[in-house]
Amino acid sequence: MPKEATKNIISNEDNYHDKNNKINIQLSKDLAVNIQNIELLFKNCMDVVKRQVDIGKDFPFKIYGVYVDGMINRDILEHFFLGRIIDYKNLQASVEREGTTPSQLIMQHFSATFDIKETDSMDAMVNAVLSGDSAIFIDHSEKGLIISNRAWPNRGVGEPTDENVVRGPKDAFTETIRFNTVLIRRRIRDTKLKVKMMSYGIRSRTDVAIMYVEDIVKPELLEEVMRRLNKYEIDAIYDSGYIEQLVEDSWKSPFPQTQATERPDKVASSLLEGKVAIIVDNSPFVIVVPTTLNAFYQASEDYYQRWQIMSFTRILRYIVSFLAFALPGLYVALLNFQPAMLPTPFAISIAASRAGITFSTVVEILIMELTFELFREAGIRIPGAIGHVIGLVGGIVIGQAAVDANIISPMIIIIISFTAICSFAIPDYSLTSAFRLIRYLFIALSAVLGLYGFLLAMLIILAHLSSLESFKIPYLAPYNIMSENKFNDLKDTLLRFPTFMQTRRPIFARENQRTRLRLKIERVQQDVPPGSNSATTNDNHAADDKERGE
Amino acid sequence: MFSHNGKISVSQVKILLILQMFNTGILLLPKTAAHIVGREGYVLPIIALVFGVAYVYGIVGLTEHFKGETLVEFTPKIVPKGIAFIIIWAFAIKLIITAGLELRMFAEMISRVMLPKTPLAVILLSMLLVSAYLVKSGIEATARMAEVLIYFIFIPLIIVILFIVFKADYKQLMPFFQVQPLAIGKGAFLISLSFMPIEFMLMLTGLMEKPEKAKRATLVALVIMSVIEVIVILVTFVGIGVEESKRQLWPVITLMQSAQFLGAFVENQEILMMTCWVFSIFMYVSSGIYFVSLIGSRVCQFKRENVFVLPIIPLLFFVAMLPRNLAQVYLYYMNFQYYMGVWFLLPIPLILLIITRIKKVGGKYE
Repeated sequence: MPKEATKNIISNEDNYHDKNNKINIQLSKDLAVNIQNIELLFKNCMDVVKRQVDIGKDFPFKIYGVYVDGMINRDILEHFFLGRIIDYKNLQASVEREGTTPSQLIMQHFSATFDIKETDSMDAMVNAVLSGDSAIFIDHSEKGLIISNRAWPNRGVGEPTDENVVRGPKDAFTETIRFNTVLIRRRIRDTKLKVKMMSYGIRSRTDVAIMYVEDIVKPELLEEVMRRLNKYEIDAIYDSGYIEQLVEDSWKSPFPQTQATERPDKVASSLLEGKVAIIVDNSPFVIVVPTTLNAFYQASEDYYQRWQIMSFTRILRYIVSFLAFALPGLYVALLNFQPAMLPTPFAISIAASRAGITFSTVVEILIMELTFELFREAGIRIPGAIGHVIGLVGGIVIGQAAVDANIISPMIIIIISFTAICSFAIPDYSLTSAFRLIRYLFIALSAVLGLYGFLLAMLIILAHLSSLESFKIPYLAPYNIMSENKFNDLKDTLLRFPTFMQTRRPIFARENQRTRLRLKIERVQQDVPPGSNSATTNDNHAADDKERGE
Repeated sequence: MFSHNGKISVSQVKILLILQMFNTGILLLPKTAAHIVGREGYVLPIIALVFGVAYVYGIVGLTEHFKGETLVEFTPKIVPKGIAFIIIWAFAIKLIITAGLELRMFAEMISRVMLPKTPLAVILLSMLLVSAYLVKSGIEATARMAEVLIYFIFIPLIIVILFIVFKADYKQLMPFFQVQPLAIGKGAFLISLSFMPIEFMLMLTGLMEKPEKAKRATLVALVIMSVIEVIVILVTFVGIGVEESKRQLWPVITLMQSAQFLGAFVENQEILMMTCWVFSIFMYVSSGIYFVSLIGSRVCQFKRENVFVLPIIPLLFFVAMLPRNLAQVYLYYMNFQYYMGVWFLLPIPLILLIITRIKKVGGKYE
């Protein structure tokens, strides 16, 4: 073994991992050194297949292949790579004749797969193996080959579980990052849709893809996303929820500051609005940044159905979301401090229903709220078939029994049940969770200061939301920056304006790329000579924006 | 993207000023107008506009000379440092007293309408702490908050006014042209003091993205406020009558009580209408705390603007608790407005402006 080569053999596995857990040695020209290193690195990893093969009949040439059993497509490796080269007569002669390196020769002449690349880094080789690719070490070559033949177990593209629609695409993201990028790519067939790949987690080396439309996204937003992603070093991430919490603006806020979605159509439309998508391997939820409170009220279906009914639904969502966090507090305030505000027959009816109840209204509300939270949690944990029974037992049996036992009044059951239904009408689960939490602030302040306390709670939440930002975009936009973008962002808020009126992209997009819809016929008549094709290029869009004085 | 530069837009300035002017004073306005000129009190805000425009020209005329600077920075350039120090701190003390008395008036109103058994101190402190929570996030958050609150304040108000105007007694306004010009002049001056938050422009212009548009923004806010005041006085007069407006301490609340909503689910809707004033006073008190805190930070040359937010709260609380009862608060409030309110609206800015022009300090905008 050459002296130079022996220096590259690692004596202890810990010695050549740097503080970021990267392997900081290069490949050796001597295959034996590389084999020793690999053997040491994958010591006691019985799922890793390692094998040395002689290729060439007359003058054998050694190669050494490594892959993780079950993670690769063996057909590609065996038929389209190994099968084509193993019987070749004299590889060395071909190398000398071509004046090239063995790795280049194999890659260019013998591999029947496109996705094959050279590397001189042991870290890249090992990472490829762990990611489901095959690594090929070649004798007398300082470069190895990585064959991309991942075929790990996956559950395929399924239907969304949390964001169902009656009308619209039914595909949802899955745990495989490549499937997810494909689902987005299928919807935006534009070369300007870029995918930046990075790995996150020192030990997990999880693949993370950052997707954006190059000429629409604001460069400062992209820069900020990359800055925040590179801000922390973590050992492992298992879901996009980790990234979400690491890149958000305010850790103190209960409100979600990034949008997590399982719908590819939602992500595609967000990308064309100038947002950035972060896709994490092993997570069926893709993160979209920046986001605003308004975005959580927008469901995919809103754009696939008629604007009148969807605008009505939007208004309904806003009203029910208010009720979802405010109703119990409002009830406490009105009943304890301002009963005079209720119409007399109604007030009498409530008073009659409370006759014989031991607890105060606040305690009643808290008992029911916490019981409901318990049912919700139990419903998730208990296996499917029994889970439904819990709903029945909780809702009907315990509820009725509690009323009969004078523990709570029937009105409380109505209030809490209605609040729960309201909270499920909000399209986004993270927002519902935030409302679940702030509900207790409303109950507490209303219990102490009545309607005035309720208003103070409103002020606290509004002050909090006003100060909140998502990647430097005000969280309450466009409601508190209406005049920005010439009031156009308001067309997709409380009311969903007809599609033909939504001509401009929102504030997230670059200012010279704000046009997203215009009358094609008019342009053809005005600009394009008869008989020629009407081109709808981005230059035209830019010209449109220029005409608008931007 | 929207950066944290501590600057606010022109439309945000307009909204902030409107909300700050729409304070407890509005609830007293019909009473003041009815006392001074009787049934033609609704003309006072229009005449008061003349005073208002003078205030704007005095204040913004002065701030226009000093781009991106507040009272704290430009006063020492105009007058000797000792005098500048006195002016700056006098302004801060004035803001504390005004906000304190405003807060006490508000607490009395809340106590009367919503929480008769709750100690005033609890009402005051809770409002102060919530205001401090907003203020600590800076002027940008405050301005964004104002942009949201404006819906909560004016939409319910417009609905209520619509209900009232259809059932109003318009004979209350007749006969016309019965008023003495002198009374109108005095009344207009008094009403013009409701534009007092214009003095915030001494600080606010320095925090604007486009300070060259400060004058226009302030004038627009002023005109909108005058129209609102005219509507409030008119609706109160035709809703509950001129004599009742004189007699009642809070005529606007009486007006809200008198409104009958067809098929409404709530009774005693004046309690619900208090929402408008709770939100509006919140903005006023928040601005008071913010600007005093800003003065403190800039004088001490601290980087953070919110260092003084918490220390100001006991001061405001002390001022608010000083009057013994509602009658005394009313007296203090009216007297303070009458004798002290005008100083930073016209005389001081005007004197500083004259000195600025004589000494030729500061660079005027193009």
